[in-house]
Amino acid sequence: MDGRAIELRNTTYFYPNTTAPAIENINLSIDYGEFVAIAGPSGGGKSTLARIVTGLIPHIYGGSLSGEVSVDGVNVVEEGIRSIIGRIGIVLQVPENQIVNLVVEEEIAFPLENLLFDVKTILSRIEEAMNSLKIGHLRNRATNTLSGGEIQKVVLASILAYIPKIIVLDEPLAHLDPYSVKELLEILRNLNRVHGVTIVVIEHRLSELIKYVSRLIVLDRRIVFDGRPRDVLASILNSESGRGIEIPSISRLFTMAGSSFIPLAVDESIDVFRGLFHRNSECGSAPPDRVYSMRLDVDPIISTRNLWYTYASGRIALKGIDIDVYRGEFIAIVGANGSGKTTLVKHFNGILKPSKGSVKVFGRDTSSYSVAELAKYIGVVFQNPLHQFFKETVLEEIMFSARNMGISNAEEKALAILRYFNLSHLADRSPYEISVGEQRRLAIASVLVYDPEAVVLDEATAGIDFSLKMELLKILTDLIKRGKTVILTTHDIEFLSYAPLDRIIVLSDGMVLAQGTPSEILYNDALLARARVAPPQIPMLVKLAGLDGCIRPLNEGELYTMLSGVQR
Amino acid sequence: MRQQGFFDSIGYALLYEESNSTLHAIDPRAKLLYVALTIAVSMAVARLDILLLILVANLVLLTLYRNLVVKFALFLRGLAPFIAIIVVFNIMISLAFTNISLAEVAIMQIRSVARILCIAIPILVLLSTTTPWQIIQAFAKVGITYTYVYPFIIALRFIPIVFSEMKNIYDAQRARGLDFEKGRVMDRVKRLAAIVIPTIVCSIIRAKDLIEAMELRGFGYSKKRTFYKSIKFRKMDALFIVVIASLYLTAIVAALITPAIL
Repeated sequence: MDGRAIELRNTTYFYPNTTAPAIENINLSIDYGEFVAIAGPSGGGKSTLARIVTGLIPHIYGGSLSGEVSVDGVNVVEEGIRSIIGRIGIVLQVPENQIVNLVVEEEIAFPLENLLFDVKTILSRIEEAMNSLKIGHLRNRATNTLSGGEIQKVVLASILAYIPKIIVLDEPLAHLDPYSVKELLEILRNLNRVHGVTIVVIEHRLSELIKYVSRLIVLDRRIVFDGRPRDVLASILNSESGRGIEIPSISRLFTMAGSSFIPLAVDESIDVFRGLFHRNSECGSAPPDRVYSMRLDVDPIISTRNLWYTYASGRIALKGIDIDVYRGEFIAIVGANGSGKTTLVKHFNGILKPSKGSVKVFGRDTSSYSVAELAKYIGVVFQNPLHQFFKETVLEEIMFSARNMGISNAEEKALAILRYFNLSHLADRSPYEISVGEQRRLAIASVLVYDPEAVVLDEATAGIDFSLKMELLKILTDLIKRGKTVILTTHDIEFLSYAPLDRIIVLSDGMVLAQGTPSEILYNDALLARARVAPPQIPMLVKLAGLDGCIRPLNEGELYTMLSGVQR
Repeated sequence: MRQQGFFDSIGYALLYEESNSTLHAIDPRAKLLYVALTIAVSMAVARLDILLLILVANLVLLTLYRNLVVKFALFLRGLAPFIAIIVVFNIMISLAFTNISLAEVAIMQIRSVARILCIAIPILVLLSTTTPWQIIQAFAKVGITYTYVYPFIIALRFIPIVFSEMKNIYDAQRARGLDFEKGRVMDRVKRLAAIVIPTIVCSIIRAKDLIEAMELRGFGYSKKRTFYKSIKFRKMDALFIVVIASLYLTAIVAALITPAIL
């Protein structure tokens, strides 16, 4: 069995007290030096696989594992976690949870100290690890002051320090903004090519990742596809099995157009694109496009004036924000991690009160109203559903919000919203037992049950797979149709390209950089770059093809309709 | 608003901060000794005037690292409502069920507050200026295996994180219309379940992740471990301890031989 970095034979695993296997009959071998992506829907066993190859299953989790597992030539099931320490490293989904120490340098030294390396070696290894990730400037920083991207790099450095042959990353891109995603993937490519580290990335966000990997595996309890990225993408696009995987919109476009060539990146698609649609390069005059204009006829439902906010630590998070939100609008607030998105929306229901300036919600100054009063008008759903569940059943969880808001027929309303969200069958289950996607829906349902005028979702798409994102989008679009106002914060630009938004507000460093219609914003590369946000693929392609003067589609569906319409 | 301030203030006050201050540079063993000495002397001394002197001395010490003054203020702001409740409660109980006069009860309460503050300062100094890694090495130097010390140290390190998580949970629950500021006391206490339960669940998840990550990075691989930098007990550290110890000794002696002012 040696000669392979990872080898699984007929591996099946059941978590303790479960009757359905988390993964079933997996046969998989990964060679040294490969850069592999494992994609699949939520609940498809991706994280389980990561735990198996790192020995955490069965040694920490228990349960029943059958079949053979060999990592760097070691039978990890028989020989225990200790036998593979130093050979393999893992970056977990929430990397800040795996940081032990308070100073970056200490954290990087941690594994080496445990493994009794001598001081000289440790010091030189710290140096090497920090150099290869370019984080020398973080050396003496406190680990709790780092950004999400920085934490990931520190965790990686702490693993690199013991020079493992294999590194596994479990959904590393979920909480990163587009620029940080690119940065991390470049680092991984460098580790793979220059240092020969075998890299396994578990992820359903493929748009960026797919350009980097040498092999793509689709896992849905069993291995559904396994091969070169381009071939696997073609298989997914031609079958029904791609559930939950985010396929680059550029690849979808070419499949729609019946192309046999499936591009993985915008730059490699441009020539084929021109041929495919036989476009003349000349195009009409101005783009047939809406330009965002301020509405002066009605009063805004939310309005901030010169809003400043300073945290107890002295960090200034918002610097003079002036925005108005009107009834019935669908708005996205975008910006890199740390740009102030969450701080801003916390002002909409009075959770935070301005340090300077004012926020008015339905004409009420938030500084003189309690959150409970303002929440009647503005429902805010936060990123982590686990921060709000505490009742014994799903139904009670929803009824709790309804009762707080003084809804008279709470149970009736709660049952109705459960039906609407397809959660009725889970009404008596514990909110902790249901899947991540279901928890996300439950969190939203528990706000919608009391029917607030406006709904605000903070980073609603972080960490959920593509089919759940589309499900969420449908819910939001329905709300808009019913005349509600929806505001979402995100750095998931590809998701935004599918949403029928009225307006995008771009935040950077606590200030409003710009606001406008999606086509105004998403076609403005310079602006997006200043906000550290990458444009979606379809606008990139249209600009590259020089068509942005006549059409401004946001996603592959729009582009395809526009171009095939012109052709006819 | 008030509770918001509580989580924010306490969370920030207990956080380690990187800096080059004198207090950061002092050997962790010296700081541990300082904590122990202060607790001992604050418990031993019963006289209010002397306790206040010890408090003043400690406050002066805080100025060695300017941020600590801010942190102490935030810490006080966070704790103030709780201290106030306990004090009022104690006074009411004492007046209702004992024959002690109001003045005496008041002095008793001021004394316990002074004691709490005396003890809080060195702990604040230790947590804000010392990393767990330094404390672990300090224990390792006297022969205590790191695997026994780490759990306690990690618990300390997670205090600020748990506080900031509690704040997020508190916000999420308020956003669902839960009002922590209205209603009878018993109702308010019941509502705390909405914060406590999610906090416990999230902490368990975090602990699980941490265990996995530590295990894979060789934690507990051997009873021994190396330290990539060695902490050194220098003249300055000795001086620090001598100053503290003589100060406290003077206080104890003063308490024994001088008449009480308060």
